[in-house]
Amino acid sequence: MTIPEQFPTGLRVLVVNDDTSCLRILETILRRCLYNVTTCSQAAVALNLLRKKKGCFDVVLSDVHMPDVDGYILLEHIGLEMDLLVIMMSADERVSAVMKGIFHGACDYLIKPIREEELRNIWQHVIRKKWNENKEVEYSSSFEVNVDNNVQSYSTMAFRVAAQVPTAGQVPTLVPSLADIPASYDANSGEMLNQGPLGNLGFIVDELAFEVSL
Amino acid sequence: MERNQQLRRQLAAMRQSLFDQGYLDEQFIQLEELQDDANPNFVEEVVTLYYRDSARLLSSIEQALEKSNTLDFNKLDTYMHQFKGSSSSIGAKKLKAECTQIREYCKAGNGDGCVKTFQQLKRDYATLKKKLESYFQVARQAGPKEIASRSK
Repeated sequence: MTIPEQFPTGLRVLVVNDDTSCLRILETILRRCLYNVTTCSQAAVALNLLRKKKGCFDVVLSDVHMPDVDGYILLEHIGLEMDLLVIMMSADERVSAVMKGIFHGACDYLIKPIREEELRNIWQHVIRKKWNENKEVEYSSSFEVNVDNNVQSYSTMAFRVAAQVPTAGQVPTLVPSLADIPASYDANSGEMLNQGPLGNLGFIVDELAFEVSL
Repeated sequence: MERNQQLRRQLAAMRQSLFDQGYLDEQFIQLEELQDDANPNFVEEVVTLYYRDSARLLSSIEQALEKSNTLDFNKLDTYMHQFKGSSSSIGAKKLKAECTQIREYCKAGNGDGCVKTFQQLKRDYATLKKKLESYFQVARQAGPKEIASRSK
């Protein structure tokens, strides 16, 4: 998974809403967030577009109540046919309605009128999903090493990054949280201040490369 | 310059009265904040779209209400939900409240309540339309800066 430098700028959003004034407002807000917006006033057309252009969108923002195809049906189709996040929108704030949306697979449910801050944050769902997908690559969830009776445990984070190390020339793209890296790593110099017992694993954090060795 | 100042004052007063009289709420301010150089007539555009789309919806509602003996409350409720959604998007406070009221009447199966409230809604809808049209007219005369300068 590559996180582009200017993320979340350019997040590819498809907005589906039969109400043209709503659509115009959403489009404007999303453009302000520097997202890449495509609008659609009919669910059937939206589904067609998604089928034709698989992999061209990061997230779908759909109204629940639409005259041609119900928002839940669109949601189900998207869930079955493609791996795409869907956020539902509605003026119906009842808990039952929100639950229905979540049960149908919506990753979020926004109540109208929708504020700019809510739309600005939708990238978090996308990144969370990609992050969870990448977690499946890790070797083990945690491990302990006993060095001279001094047990140290290492978080999954560092190891997960190590699991991503590809062959030479390629840059692994997960950036671990520095809080998870053993405290003996100096983030500024990229140097290990004392050796850890992990064995030789090389991985890159941003532009810094370092090794942890036994 | 002098005329411009007068227009701006007039514009500010018109705007304030729309809020004071309960026709508009904070959502309208959100729309104003989305207006910028890239979208210089944004508010007017959205309001125009709203009135265009909702006209159709309103006539559907009216047709549904005409059958006062066999009122389909579910259908009416769906229409009102839709109308409420779009009205709230432009910050039409009164209309939004009236939609909620009608939905309550639908739940209670109160046909009379629906009809009466809808008559009121139609009046407020028309009034708001006129007021906003005048507002935008003055805004255009006053020049682009006016809509951009608003007090919070």
